[in-house]
Amino acid sequence: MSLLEIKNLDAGYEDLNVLKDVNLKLEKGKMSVLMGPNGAGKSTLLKSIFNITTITSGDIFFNNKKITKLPAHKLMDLGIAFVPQGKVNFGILSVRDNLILGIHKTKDKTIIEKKLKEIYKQFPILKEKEKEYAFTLSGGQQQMLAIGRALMSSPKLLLMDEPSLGLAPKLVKEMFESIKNIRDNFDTTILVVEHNLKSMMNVADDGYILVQGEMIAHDSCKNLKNSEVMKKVFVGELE
Amino acid sequence: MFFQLLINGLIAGSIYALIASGFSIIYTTNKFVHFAHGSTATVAAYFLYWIFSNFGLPLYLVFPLTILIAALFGFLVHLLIYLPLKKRKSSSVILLIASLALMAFFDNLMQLLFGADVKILSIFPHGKGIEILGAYITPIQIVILIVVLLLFFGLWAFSKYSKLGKIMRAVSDNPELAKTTGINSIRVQHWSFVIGSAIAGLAGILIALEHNIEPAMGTHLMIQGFTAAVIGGVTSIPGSIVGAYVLGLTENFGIWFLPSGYKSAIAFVLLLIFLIIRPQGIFGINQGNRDQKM
Amino acid sequence: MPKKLGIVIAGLALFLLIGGGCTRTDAPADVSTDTDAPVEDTSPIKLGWLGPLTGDVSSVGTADREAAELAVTEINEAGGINGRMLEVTYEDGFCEGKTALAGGTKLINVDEVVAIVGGFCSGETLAVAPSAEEKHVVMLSPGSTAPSVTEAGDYIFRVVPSDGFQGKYAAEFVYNTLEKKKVAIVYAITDYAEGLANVFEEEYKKLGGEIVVKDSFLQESRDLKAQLTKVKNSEAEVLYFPTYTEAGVVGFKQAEELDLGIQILGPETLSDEKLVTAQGAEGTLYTVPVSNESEAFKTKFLEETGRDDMPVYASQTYDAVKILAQVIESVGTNGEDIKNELYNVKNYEGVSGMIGFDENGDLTSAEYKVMIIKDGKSEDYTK
Repeated sequence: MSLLEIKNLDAGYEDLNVLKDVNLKLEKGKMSVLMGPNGAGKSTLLKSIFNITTITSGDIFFNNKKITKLPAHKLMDLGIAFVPQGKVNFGILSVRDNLILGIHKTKDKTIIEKKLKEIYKQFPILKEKEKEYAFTLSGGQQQMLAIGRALMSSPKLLLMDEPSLGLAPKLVKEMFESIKNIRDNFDTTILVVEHNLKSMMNVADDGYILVQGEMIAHDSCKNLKNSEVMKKVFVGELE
Repeated sequence: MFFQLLINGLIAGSIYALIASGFSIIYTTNKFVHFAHGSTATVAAYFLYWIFSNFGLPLYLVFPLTILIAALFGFLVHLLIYLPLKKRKSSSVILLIASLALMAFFDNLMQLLFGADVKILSIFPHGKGIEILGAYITPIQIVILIVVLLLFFGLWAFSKYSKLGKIMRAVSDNPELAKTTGINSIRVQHWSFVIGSAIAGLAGILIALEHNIEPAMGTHLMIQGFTAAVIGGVTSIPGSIVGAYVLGLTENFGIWFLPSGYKSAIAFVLLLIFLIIRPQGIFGINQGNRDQKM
Repeated sequence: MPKKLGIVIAGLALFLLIGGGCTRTDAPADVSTDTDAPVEDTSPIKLGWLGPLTGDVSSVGTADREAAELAVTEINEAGGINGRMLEVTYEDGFCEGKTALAGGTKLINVDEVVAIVGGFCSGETLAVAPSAEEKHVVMLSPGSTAPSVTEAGDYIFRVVPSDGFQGKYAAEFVYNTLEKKKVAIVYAITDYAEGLANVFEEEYKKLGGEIVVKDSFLQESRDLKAQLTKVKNSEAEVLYFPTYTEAGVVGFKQAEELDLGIQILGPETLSDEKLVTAQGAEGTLYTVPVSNESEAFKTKFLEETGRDDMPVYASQTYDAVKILAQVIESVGTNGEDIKNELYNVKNYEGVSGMIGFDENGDLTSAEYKVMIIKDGKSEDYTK
């Protein structure tokens, strides 16, 4: 059954239209990767789910419920978490405070402590830096913090926008291992926008290809890996 | 002499702090300059005067009522003027211009309704100050000092430990991330105006008691209030109070050596120094550009 | 759309900012009269009046306006000036140059008044003087006492003495009568107060006294603790405090709170009721020009206006209107003629005393006395 469905979406920023008639269907429990050249509109697609772009037509459904243009803060209640690109954390809050904000609606301290424990188990370095300001963390640590915060709310759907961006290759490998663990341990459906295709293709179940605002392919990663369309779009990138 | 200058500086700093702290809360959360904040204090002061002159209500009712009215005023200004502008994606420059218009409008409205002359609020008896170590301080001034100290600790604890305080800092630091983390930014901004304006109401009461009431009273103090917020660090709410004391003390010790007419110049010079040397202020955090993730 | 809204708001902001500072006119602008009309002209003669109707000194300004109105009523009831009624247009000077300039130039250029009774505050007069000079419109001030008004121009006259006299009188009073040798001066940064402070300093030093502190404040200042702390910490035995009302109220209050403990002496601005009844005013001394105010005028004024006390410069205002009326009656409405005839006034018996102008348009002599504030009222000071 599809957890997230996007139908005929036209979206962009003010008068700039980026996405044209985009369709996407995300199966529950699967990890999917959204690929495409720079400027294709991948980030725009993720952001549109959160209504922080200008949506001109089309609809978005989550668990068969229409969520198009729903205010961003309501999506967390529905179980959607987002790890954005760029400024991923609240720099002037501590690591611990950043994580707690992930389930700020919960008042029950025991639940909060339990979740923190889980996250610290997944990312031990965060426990170590618990009281530090988030901005003092390195890039890789920041990424982990961002993912950790997203997981605090036990989301049904986790959206990630280029988590490997700016990370050293060794860290990238660790990163994708973490993401795989999340899919296995946390029972979360995951959609990742990624550039680093080699690593992702081995890990993800499904793949989507977005080119110049149009969705041109969707298949299992196994099939896509050696397909013609992949070769055409990502000449040279699979090495 | 030293102690009198110290007390003068602390009192001046306390008054600046009353304006600066409310302003700081609103600025950090909304990221634009709400110049009409001073007018909130002025409106509160005139409201107090009006109630006090016309109705025989007891003080323990009148004071909280004034603060509530100030909070309501700030809330409505945000709801009816700033929010519609923000919804249209107005830049912070447009919001600043709107705040100037509001400031001019309400200051002039007070003048129209109450006249331009200075109103004296005779609630508490006046007289010679209390002598401490050769310096004089009046009971109202002592009250102001204590109130601001309590306010400082309250705001510090609020900012650092309370959930709303942390959420406000989150919204201030990264508004878009806050939204996607399920934080209702608009609700948080409402709260910032309510709390900040309530403090302005408190400011209006205390300044009215100490300095009397006139139409531009709040707006005049905005220069020092704004400077104090910058000195203290615009990302730190309790920092603005510290900044206010730095300013008040520097002004009052400074004019020991200079003709007193230079008092306002000192505020500007301090502002300039901080903007050039340490723009994040005393308590502000310069996050730097490590690893491009931030 | 956002940009348009922003421009509308910016425009609104500008409008409010400027509108807020606008002067208030009470009389509607009249149709200008032709000042070269033949003697049979029965249209009203227009005078202008410029003074603080709002702001710091408004209580004095509005009271003196009533004195002008009283004079106008009397003149008109007696048949006017050569059969023409006298009309006065009142403009607000706010006791400061910028606003006064706007009001004054309006009187000169728009209302085209024959002469101006005013400005009241020295700052007002000095601001408008150049325009009056240029357009040959006489200004006869009932209250501008700053020494610098002496050189303000040929067309500028006053029925109050220059503070060159008052400052000297105050200095002599402190040195000789109070027998104090160390004085602190704290003055408002205005033409009027600064003029007094400087004259006082010069004269007091000539007598052999010492100025231990000389500090200042802006007229709109509402916190004088810094200045008063300096005074308290000095060896001053007397504080000379030339100021307008609102800052004066603050000064009195804070002097009491700080327990300043020394005698305060000021000029005639301290006679404002708001100051006399203010916290901390008890025992303050101030100098005033002696108006050999006729009792008759005093009684009539208090009766007509329903006031309890004579405001300062009310009789001078009354005299100013009457003198101008008299001069216009003899020489007509030409500005230059009025000016020349005024210099011939040497022994006019006004309700404020004997009036005569020297070659600068100043009063030829001045007399002062000292008042003391006691129990919220002013009385003559007796040693």
